[in-house]
Amino acid sequence: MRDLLRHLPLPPQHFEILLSLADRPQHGYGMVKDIRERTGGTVNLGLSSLYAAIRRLIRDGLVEEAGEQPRDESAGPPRRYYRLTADGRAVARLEAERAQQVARTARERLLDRGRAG
Amino acid sequence: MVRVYSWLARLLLPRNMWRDAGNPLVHAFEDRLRESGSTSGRLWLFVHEVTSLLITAAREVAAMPRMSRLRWTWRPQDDVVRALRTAGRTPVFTLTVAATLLLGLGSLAGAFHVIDAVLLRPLPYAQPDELVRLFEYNVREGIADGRLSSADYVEFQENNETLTGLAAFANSVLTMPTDDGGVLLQTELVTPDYFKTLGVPTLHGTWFTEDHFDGDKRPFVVLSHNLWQTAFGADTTIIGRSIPLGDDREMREVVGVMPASFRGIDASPDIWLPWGRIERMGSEESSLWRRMHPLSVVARRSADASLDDVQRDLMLIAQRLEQEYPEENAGHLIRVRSLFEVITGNVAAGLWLLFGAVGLVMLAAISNLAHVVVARGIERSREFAVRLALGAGRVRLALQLGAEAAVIAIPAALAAVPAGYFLANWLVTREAQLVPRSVGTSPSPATFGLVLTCGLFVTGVLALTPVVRRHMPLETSLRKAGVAGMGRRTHRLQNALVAAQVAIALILFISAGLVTRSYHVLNTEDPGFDAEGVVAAEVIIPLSRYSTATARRGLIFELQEAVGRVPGMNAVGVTSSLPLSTGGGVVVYGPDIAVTGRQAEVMNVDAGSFEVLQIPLISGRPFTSADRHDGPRVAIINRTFARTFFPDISPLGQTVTWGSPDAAPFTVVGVAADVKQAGPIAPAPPILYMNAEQSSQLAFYLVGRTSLDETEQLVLVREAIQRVDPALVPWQLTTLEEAVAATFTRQRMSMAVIIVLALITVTVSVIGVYGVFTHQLATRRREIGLRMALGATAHRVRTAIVRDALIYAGGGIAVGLAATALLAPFVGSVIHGIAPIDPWSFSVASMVLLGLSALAAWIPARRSSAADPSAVLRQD
Repeated sequence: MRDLLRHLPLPPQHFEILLSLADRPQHGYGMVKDIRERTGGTVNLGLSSLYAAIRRLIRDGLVEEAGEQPRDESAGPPRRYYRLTADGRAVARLEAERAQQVARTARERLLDRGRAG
Repeated sequence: MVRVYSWLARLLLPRNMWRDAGNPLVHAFEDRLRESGSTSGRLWLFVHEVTSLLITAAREVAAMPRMSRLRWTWRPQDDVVRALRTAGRTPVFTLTVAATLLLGLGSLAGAFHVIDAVLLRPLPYAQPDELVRLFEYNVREGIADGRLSSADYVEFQENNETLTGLAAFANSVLTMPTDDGGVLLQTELVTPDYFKTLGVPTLHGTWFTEDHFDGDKRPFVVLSHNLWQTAFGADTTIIGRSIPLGDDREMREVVGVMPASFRGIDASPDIWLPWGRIERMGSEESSLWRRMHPLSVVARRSADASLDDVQRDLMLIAQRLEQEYPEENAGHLIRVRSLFEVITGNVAAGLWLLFGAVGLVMLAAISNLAHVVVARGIERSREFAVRLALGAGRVRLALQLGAEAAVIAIPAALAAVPAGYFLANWLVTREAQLVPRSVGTSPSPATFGLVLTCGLFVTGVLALTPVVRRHMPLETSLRKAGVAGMGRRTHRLQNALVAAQVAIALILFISAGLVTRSYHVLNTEDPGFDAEGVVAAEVIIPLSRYSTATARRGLIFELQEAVGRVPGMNAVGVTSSLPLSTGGGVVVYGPDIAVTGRQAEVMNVDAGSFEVLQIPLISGRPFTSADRHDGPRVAIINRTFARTFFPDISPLGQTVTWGSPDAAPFTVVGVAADVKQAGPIAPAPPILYMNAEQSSQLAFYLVGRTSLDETEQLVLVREAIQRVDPALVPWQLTTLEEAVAATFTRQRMSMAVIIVLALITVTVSVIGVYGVFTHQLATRRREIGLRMALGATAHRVRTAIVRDALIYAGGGIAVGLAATALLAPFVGSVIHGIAPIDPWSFSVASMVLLGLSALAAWIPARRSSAADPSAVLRQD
């Protein structure tokens, strides 16, 4: 557990990647689309940033390759899929808690004070 | 887009990231691109992804451990520093490349500077394309660019439908008094519309207004920039002040100063004066008004009329005038030419030829550099192989080589522009008649652009030549490097370069030979007179103080006496023009001439001038003191005149006249030998010499033959003239040899330029051949050593090598001969007296180049065949 804490805080882009892999394996472009839809277009990852991030996540043992699968809808080279590792899932959960903590603090300090003032 | 993206990603991303994620990255990009529908959407996506790529690449590099970063990161300043170090380590190579580039690019810059200024830049008038010159085309007398009569001018002005402005001008001279006598000013007399037609604003003050043309005196003047600077110290308060001009020192008010770029139309005037208005005349003056043709005419065509439209329009008017005034206007048509063509037409062909020659020099220089770089690339192939093996990318190597080339080429290009500019300007200001326009005070951006582009192109060639060659696997290049690193392909490339250089050098060499021979022919042809020891002073008689013919005859007589008293002066004469310097002519009439409508030169001379110039009489008698001004009118003709007009009868005693059949006749009393009167190239024209004593002339040359130093005599002649009349300023004071040399200026300059270019090219190519063979032999040491160990003599080895050189040079010569023959029509347009395909020039140039090539190969051949074979073989 102490080991995993060193990954925190996660860079926002990494967090988004982990989130989009939370329920199923995904290929790179799928992740970009997923993230864009979830965030309403506010996070629009460049492909190269995505792959650079994935490399780093793989190196840290948070994401692993899930093999290649042929495309269903169109011809073309098979796509490489990625999925969360157990560590990755745990780190994502830790980051979510941390974020919640941050949000709570922010609410107390900013909003309460705002009300007092 | 996908390909560009993929290429960029491979270039920018670190090697291992590309290996891990390159394929999925590009595929994902492809998918994304496919799904973004519109073109603008795709474009936006592309920009977005490339930006992301740049940011990612920068981050990845920043995150790398230091050592691996060093291997990958590209910092331009590192490359520049390394390139400077490399350049400093090999000074000979660096200087050779820099000097070659400076020569090539400098010639290019100089030539282009002049071409840009003369041929490419628009003339310094408003909408210069619309300006045209009108010339009278006198069909009867064969004069294609004659001046217009005032009557015709008015007709054209009132009846044309295609012109928006029409102005007349005439060139003259006027003295301006100074402390030491005075200077003569080139003057342009202009009509009121002159300025409006040309559309050039004054620098200070205003142009003449209509009021300035009122009255008879019109005491106003506009100054040229040059005169304003030299004579009035660029004083802006000069506007409104009055300055004395002319022999009578009439005060004229300065109304304006023109900008430096404005040099009038014809003769770079120092001042402009208001001429009268050109208006219809009363009937009694009308005939004279139609017969005199004093007007040079410039016009502006309306924007929607073409040159052809103007020509048709005015031609209709001219034809109508022919019918209405058959006596004065028969055969008088009109010719419309663009002002630009009139001004630049004489030099355009020569300048483009010069540019072509400079282009050849550049080609020779570039091919030499390409060879030098190939040779060096081979020497460094071990270094490149090791660096490639250690993971340097090809692009990375190219960038470094590019930097190495750029640190030499860019400074050379930057230095070449001012060098070429100063050289060209020095030539042009020294020999002002070389170009018809001012070449400007600084190199134009176009010159900079062209030369820098060439510099960058050369840089690219230098950088990429070694890179494209690197296809061998590492082990091969390591093993072969420095030993026998040259493949058959490299040999072929180098030999092709040898042939190309020899071909280029031959073209320029032959051209130089042709131009030199042509100049020699011109110079050695007997001009018909002897210029040595002759001094000449041009005098213009002020009509205001010598208003009668008697007064003028008296003055001429006094001047001759005064100059004749100068110590060392053996003979003195008077002539209306110096040899080699007249143009145009008049139509000859006479009861017994064999041809009608033909022209001759008319000159006013006295007996002394024949003696001074040593023009012999073939038959008849010279002018004598018995031929008085009130006696029978006599003339001497030259041999060509006699052959043209009196081919079958003796001309002596015949009568001729000129200008009009009714003019008073002259009796021919003598026939003189031919003189090249109409310039260095043209053959002797028919000349009618009239007796100066019997004609009234305002401008003439005093010529004298002296046995003393001519330059010192010039001072004495000037003093003698001013002793007679202190206000008389000799307009031109020169030795005849100088005057003759001046007429050869253009020929001499083009000869000098082409010889210099040819020398540069021949030198560059011989160095190239030498370099190629030195290098090939260095890489063939082992083979040569082996041959000699097997019994080949040094002599046989040398012969084989020189034979190789002769084969490739011979190929180049064949190509060069063919190319020169193809270029013959162009070269032919600038040479005289010899055929453009001149066997003498062709064969001598070929032989010399073959010899030089053989020598350039023989020197390294001797060196390598002198080496001890066993030592050479042991080295490996």
